[in-house]
Amino acid sequence: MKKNTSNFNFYSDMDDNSRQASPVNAFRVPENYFEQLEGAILKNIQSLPDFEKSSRHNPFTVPEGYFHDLQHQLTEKISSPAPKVPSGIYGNLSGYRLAAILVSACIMILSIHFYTRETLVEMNAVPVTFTELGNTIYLQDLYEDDLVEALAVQQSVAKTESAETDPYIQYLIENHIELSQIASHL
Amino acid sequence: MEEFSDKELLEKFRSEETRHYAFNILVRQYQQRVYWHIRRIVIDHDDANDVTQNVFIKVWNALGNFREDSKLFTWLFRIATNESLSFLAQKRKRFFIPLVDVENQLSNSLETDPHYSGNAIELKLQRAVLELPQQQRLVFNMKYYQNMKYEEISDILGITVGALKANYHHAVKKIEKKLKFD
Repeated sequence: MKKNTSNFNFYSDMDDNSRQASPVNAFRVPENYFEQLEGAILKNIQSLPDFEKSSRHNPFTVPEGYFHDLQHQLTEKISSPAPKVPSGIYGNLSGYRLAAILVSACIMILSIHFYTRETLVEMNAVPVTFTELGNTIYLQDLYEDDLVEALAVQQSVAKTESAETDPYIQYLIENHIELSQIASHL
Repeated sequence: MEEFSDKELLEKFRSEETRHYAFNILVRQYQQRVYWHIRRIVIDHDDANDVTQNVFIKVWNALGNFREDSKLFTWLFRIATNESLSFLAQKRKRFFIPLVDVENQLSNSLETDPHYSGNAIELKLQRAVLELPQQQRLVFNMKYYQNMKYEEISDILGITVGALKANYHHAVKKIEKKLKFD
């Protein structure tokens, strides 16, 4: 396959002296080499299929009348400029940046909302005593986890309240009785 | 087409009465060069059209404050380059595309692009150019396709002439390698 790099004259602005006059150039060329080189290259080029003679042919095209229309379009645009974006807090922000800021703000607001909602739910949880549990459901139907939770709630209430506590819970605590022991006897 | 110097254009632009006239002249003088420079970077015609229009709108808004510390053409090209690169960067961000894949997408779109009429060799060359690192691609486009001088490119990109020559040399070597072995 023929090498086709000689199609393109990359160093056309350099004269022969520049090409040859390198301080480390110890090579010589045959007499009149460069004079006949151009002809030899062109001959090779022309023998290649589908090659157009100009080595700097512009393969890009534009629609017909494009440059004429371009001038008219520009004249119209400068005569009726686009409305200016109002200055101020939003004035200098591009669409993408503004959208990103709004999305971030929404995420933050939702996060705060859900966090505070959960906290409120916890704060509003009504502590349940064993007495109340016993009045509403059969103890043997409770899972151990529910008993533990009820005990924990009762204990936290007992710590904060100086008033009388549930005597059953107090009994369990003082006698180190595990709830699992109670459950096994039910 | 009547051509004006930078100084004449700026004088006319700064006058309220002749501002539009000066701008039209400026667009007519530079639109094609600016457009093709942008097109070589963003590849797609519709994208190039958008960026070109944005560039000239920016020029309209900023020309009154142009400090004349460079040529008008250099200033225009600097805006065009920055707008094109910003456009590609936005395209990556918008579609969460990794850095490399935008250029791959542009390369793949060439074959089906109705505004691309290159033959197989030119397609290969264009694909090789798209694989270059961004700076090398810019330098290659400006040097090879637009035949600009290194000093002009240096003014536009803010890179030294020596660095530009190195960039161009590396770009050429990579393209040659790509064309030889593919």
